[in-house]
Amino acid sequence: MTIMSWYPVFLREMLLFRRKLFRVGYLFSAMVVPVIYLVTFGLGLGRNVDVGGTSYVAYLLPGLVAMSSMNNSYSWVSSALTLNRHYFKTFQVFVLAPVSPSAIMVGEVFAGMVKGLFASLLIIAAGFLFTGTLVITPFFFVALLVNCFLFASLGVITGMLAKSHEDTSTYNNFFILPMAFFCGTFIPVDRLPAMLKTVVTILPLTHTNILIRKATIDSQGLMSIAVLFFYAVLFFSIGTSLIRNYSE
Amino acid sequence: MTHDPASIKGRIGVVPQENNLDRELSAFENLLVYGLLHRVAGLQEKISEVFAVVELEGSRERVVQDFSGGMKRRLLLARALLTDPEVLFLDEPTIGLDPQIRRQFWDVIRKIGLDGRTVVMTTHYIEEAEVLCDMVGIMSKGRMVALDSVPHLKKLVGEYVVDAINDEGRLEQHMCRDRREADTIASGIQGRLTIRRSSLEDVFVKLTGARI
Repeated sequence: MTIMSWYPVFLREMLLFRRKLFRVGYLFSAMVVPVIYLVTFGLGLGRNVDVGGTSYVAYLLPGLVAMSSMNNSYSWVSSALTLNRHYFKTFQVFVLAPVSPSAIMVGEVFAGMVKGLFASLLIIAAGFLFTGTLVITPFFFVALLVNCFLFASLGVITGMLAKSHEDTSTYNNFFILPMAFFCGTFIPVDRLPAMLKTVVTILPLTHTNILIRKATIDSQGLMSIAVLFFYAVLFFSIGTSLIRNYSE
Repeated sequence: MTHDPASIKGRIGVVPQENNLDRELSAFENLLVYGLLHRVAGLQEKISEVFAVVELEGSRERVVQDFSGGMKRRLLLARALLTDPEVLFLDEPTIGLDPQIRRQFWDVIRKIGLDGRTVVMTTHYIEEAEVLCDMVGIMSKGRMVALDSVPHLKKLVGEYVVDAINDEGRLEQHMCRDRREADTIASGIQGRLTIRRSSLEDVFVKLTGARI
């Protein structure tokens, strides 16, 4: 991969994103679910709950940022790739161009990250608006960036594997939705039943949620960084390999 | 050749049968992304140049989903020309276009040929091959049954045709070497008949044994 050979792939996604951004529906769809969760769980049900000495809404908000970054990085890439391969046939253009599979991968993943980060910014803004509190640490940024990277990479994997657009919803229901609810967004993983806790501990969003709430680094935080990087490398490698072996 | 696909990709242009343009991007943005992917030197000038070739200069900022079918085909052609290909492959380039638009498209293809490029195209419209191609290959059931210039192909099956309608209303065609042979055959036929020069469609029917 030559330097910046990923750029045209990224640019294409950004040009499309810019057009979508100016549609009211896009901003609404990116914000509506996390804001509903924030209002019902954070400001409603959780008003009198506290988690480890902090208010529930202060606990929930970083989790919603993590969840939203996961959803948006993943879904946009996954669904766009599926549509581009099966319906619009625009993925052919990349495959026929003299660019490497890793350049295509980087372009798609960076574009997914931008979409994930953009949605996260909206939630951070909404959080400030509704609660006036959100502690942002350096670990918050690391967690957010790696989270967007690995879920955009996972989006490429499912986007390359999906046989139809309906398949992307199936993948979403199997991987993304359970993670959104069980991996420490709404309730601490410690409070889950033992069996579920074991499964949840190996999932990436759990470690994003641990890291995103860390004020200072400790062994648990280091472990979470290691796990997130492991998933990032794993998903990126699988995604690149699927693009390399792609054939219509 | 098969060991170095990257170098081949750099020397050919492909216009697919299916429109694989980005519908939500403008014509210019489509060419910009494609040109960057193919590392086209002097891209801005090159884009203006290909827009002129396909006569879409006035529509460069329009979003592709607002284009007519003919404009989309021309934009696909412009995109393929961006890389200055030695050989241009067109897959059914005028399928689904109105006759007027198809003829305009033919002019553009001729212009590209006059620039010294080799254009290889597949088509089901036999008249399209007849008016555009120096060499025509006729495929039947996945096999090439003939490859020659249009005049030679016509000579091969006969330059004249006698079309006669028999008593049951069926068309009977007689391929003839020359006009004299056509006149001789016509003189022995009762009923409606026409003597005409053969077309590439007659060649196709004769060589493939199929009616189009």
